[in-house]
This record gives sequence, C-alpha cells and structure tokens, in this order.
Amino acid sequence: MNQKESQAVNRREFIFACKRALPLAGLLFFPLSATDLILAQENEKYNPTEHNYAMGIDTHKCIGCGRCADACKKENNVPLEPIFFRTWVERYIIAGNGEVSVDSPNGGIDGFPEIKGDKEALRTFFVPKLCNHCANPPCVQVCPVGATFISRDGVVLVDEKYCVGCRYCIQACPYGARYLHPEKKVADKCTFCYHRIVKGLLPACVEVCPTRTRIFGEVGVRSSPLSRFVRFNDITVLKPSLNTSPKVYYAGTDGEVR
Amino acid sequence: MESIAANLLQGFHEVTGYMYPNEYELHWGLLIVLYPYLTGLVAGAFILASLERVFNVKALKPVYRLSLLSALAFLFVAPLPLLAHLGHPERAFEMFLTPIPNRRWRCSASFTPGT
Repeated sequence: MNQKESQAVNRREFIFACKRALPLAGLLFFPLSATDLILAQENEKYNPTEHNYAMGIDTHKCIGCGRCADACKKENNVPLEPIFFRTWVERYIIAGNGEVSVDSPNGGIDGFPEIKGDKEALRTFFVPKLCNHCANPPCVQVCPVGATFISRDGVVLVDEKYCVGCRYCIQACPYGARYLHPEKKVADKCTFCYHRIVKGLLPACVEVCPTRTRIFGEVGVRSSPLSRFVRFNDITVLKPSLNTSPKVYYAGTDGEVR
Repeated sequence: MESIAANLLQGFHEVTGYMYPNEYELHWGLLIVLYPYLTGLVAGAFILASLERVFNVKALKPVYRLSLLSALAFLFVAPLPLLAHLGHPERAFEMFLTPIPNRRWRCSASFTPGT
C-alpha cells in the first residue's frame, strides 16, 4: 500500500514535471516552425510589380535537340499531338541560291531528319520559338472577355476560368504561339512556366537546355543574366514591323527567320 | 484525338512551305461561315416581306406570311452556330458584360494629333 502510494505520488510528480517542461518541448519544435515562418515570409515577399520577365535566345548555340519542347510538354501537360506546342524548334536551311526551307517535325522533339537532296546548303541553323510575351500584345487587345492579360510581372497569361474559347487570340497572334487546348477547350500558351518563376525557379525549357541557348531573366535589372546577354549580343526580335514589342530577344537570327 | 491530328496533317501533306505547328488547325470553319449565311437569309426574307407591306408590291402577296415567319424563325437560329463554335458556350454572355477598357477609342485617339 505504502509502496503503491509512493508510486502514485511519483506519477503525479512526473505529470507536473511534464507540465513544467511543456514550454521547453515547444522550444524543441521551434527551429522547424521558424523555417516555416521564413518560407512563408519569402512567399509573401514576392512582389510581381518588381519584376519584368523576358527571355533571350542565342541561336548560335542551339543544337536542335528539342529537349526544351519535350520538357515544356511534360511540365505543362501540353497535348502530345504534333499540332499543339507552347514552344518548338524550327530548322532553317538556306541553300546556295538563297532558297529558304524551314521544317519542324513534331516541334523538333524527335530530332530532325537528315537533309536530303544534292542541293548545297549554304547555312543551316535552329531557332527555338515560343510566345514572345509582347509588351504590346495583339492577343490581349482582341480578347472579348478579358481572359488573356499581361500580368504585373510582364507575362502574358490566359485565365482558364474566363476564356470562352472563341479563338480570336489564336488568329491574332502573329507568332503562332497559341492553340486551343483540346480537353479544356480554352486558349493555351507559354506562361514562362509561371508556377515556377514565382518561386524563383527557371522555366522548364531553360532548365533543360544543354547549351544554354535560352537565357531567362528580367528587363532592366543589371544583375540579371539577360542584361549581360543583351549587352554582348546583337539583338533582334521577331517581326519587329508589327510593333508588338516582343520580350523574347534573339541573338544571331538571320533576316530569313519569320 | 490522334486521328483528328493525323487527318489534319494529311490534309497539309501536299502543301509546300512552312507554317507554324499551332496553325495547322483551321479555327474559324464551317460554323462561322454558317452565321452570315443564316443572317443573310433572315435579312432577305424580311426585305421580301417589307416589299409587300411597305412598297405595295402586290405580286408578293402570297409569300408575305411565309417570308416574315421564316425571317423570325431563322432569327433565333442564326446565333446558334456561333455559340456552338465556342469552346465554352456557357460563358458566352460574359462578352456583353465585360467592359473593354478604353481599347477601341484609345486606338483612334492615338491617331489624332496632340494626344
């Protein structure tokens, strides 16, 4: 009996001791909660108005492996049919007599077939294509419901919940960068992998490019890799006569590139 | 879906030259063509009816009722191809509710001197 009593006291003492130690136990978990807190703060700190995203493409470096187009399809669940692309690679073959032929079999994902025929090829090069995220986009102007818009960080996006699927923007885009998603029945396009860039990651196509053909960065930020690219290369944009002010800058593209 | 893509690509087999992969699909097809055809039918039938009533062309008396009724009937049918063509017809009314902020008149304003 006596022994039992002492045991009960011991147990009570133990519980009280636990109670007193509770704040200390909280300390044990503090480091974890602190990192959570910091992470949360970092997420909150993302301010879209501070960014203006753009891409540089160094066509000298492109080897036409098509990994960018493949990665894009996998990352963004783009339908696998060869008529839906957010990004694709074109091959230009300029013959000796100045004749230009372009091809892009399956967007370059499966590589390119050997150049056939005995025509002498003067120059050949690859040009990766994607949405140019124009600062003055024709697709945004024509949308009847305002579903496509320029985000505050300079990316042209489509709101799937508002798009009526009228395909006006697909007709308006001079770069052929849009398609109607066959399952969602809404217009779909390159988003610069918006879900990735807001976390500070690179777009999927930039991430996988083995030759660093694609350079992702911000306009007007000196520390951005894009500024270096723009400083040390001769920059052109596609179809400048249309006055769309594209934000995909090409280095080393010929006049033949449309 | 695979067969649709195959058909589309087969159709372009004979086409020489290059076009962007996303542009193989023809976007404004038969349904869009049907719309002006139907509205034309409505307008034509209505003019026929008005010839009899307003301009007193007595020769058209027998077709007056028919033309006016067909104008009315096709009036309700005419927008249906447009609706059917949309990816999301249930959101179609949003077009009338969405204010297009300044876009049209800003375009015209940019051509006027001094703005």
